[in-house]
Amino acid sequence: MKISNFYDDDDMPSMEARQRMWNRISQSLSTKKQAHFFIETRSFFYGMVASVLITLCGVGLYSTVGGLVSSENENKETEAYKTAIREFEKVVPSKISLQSNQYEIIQDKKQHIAMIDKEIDKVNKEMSSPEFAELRRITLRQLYHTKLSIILSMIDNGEMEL
Amino acid sequence: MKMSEKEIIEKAKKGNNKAFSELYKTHVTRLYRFMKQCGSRYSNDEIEDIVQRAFVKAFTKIDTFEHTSSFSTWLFRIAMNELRSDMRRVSLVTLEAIADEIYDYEDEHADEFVWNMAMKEMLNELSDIKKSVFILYEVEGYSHAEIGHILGMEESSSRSLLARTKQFLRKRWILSKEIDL
Repeated sequence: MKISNFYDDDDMPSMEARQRMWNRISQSLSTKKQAHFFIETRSFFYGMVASVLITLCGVGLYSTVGGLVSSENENKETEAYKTAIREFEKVVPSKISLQSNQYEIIQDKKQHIAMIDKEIDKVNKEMSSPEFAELRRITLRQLYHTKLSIILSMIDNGEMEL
Repeated sequence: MKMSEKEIIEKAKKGNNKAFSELYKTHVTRLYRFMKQCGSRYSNDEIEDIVQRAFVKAFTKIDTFEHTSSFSTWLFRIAMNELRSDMRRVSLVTLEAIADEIYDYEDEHADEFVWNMAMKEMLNELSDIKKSVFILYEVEGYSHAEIGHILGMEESSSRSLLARTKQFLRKRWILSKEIDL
């Protein structure tokens, strides 16, 4: 059994009421759609900012790794200087030609080398501290370079016997 | 060619305004008149507000509708939830208190029930939940399973509530006739 005459006319929505409700519903739906668009726009901009940040991070990472690689090369260079000096020192056991009339100059150069060694020791001791590590590495390399140059010039000038 | 409701709903899911309008036209009168009976304490403006809110909720969540029930069952459930939240707000008798009870009642004389328009007034003496079950079943033609879904109760509870309501109406009707005599 289904009751067909249950509702009165008063129970039904008037045409105006139907229209009024629909207007409010459509208005509410369009507002929600706009809000949805706004959220999507905001997400888009967040995405853009995020991608820029990621790019910058990538560049930073690349530079850091590049720096590490280059400092690794510099370390290798320093090591090469050290090895060369060590080898020369092994081959030339500080036999200074006494016949040379440039005895004082040789003494000066030896003194110079001793000072450089002292500086190298000092810088090596400070290498454990992270502060100015890069600067110390450069200084160390320059010291080894200078020491090697002096030794080579002494060999060239015959101030050292091979 | 006329589209099926399923096709209209699928269009509405894609944000088609015409589909929304079509769904509104199909269901607004049925929902409004039912809500007016359930929320008999409310003014026409308040009923309009509940119906409108139910449609807005249904349309904004339409992508979650999976055709497991009919659209009208789903819409009625949303509207009933809106009515309940309003009732809670104004501290009126809630529908849940009765709905949560377990019913195992069967009316032996259920077949003897004959509807009379005078009974409509008597329905107002009943709780909202009994009135809702009666209208949904006897007037709107929903099954007990659908009523259970709309009102958030067991199918058996809907069955028992309907039996009790019919018994009440029958007794009340007999009593009123005796008084007239």
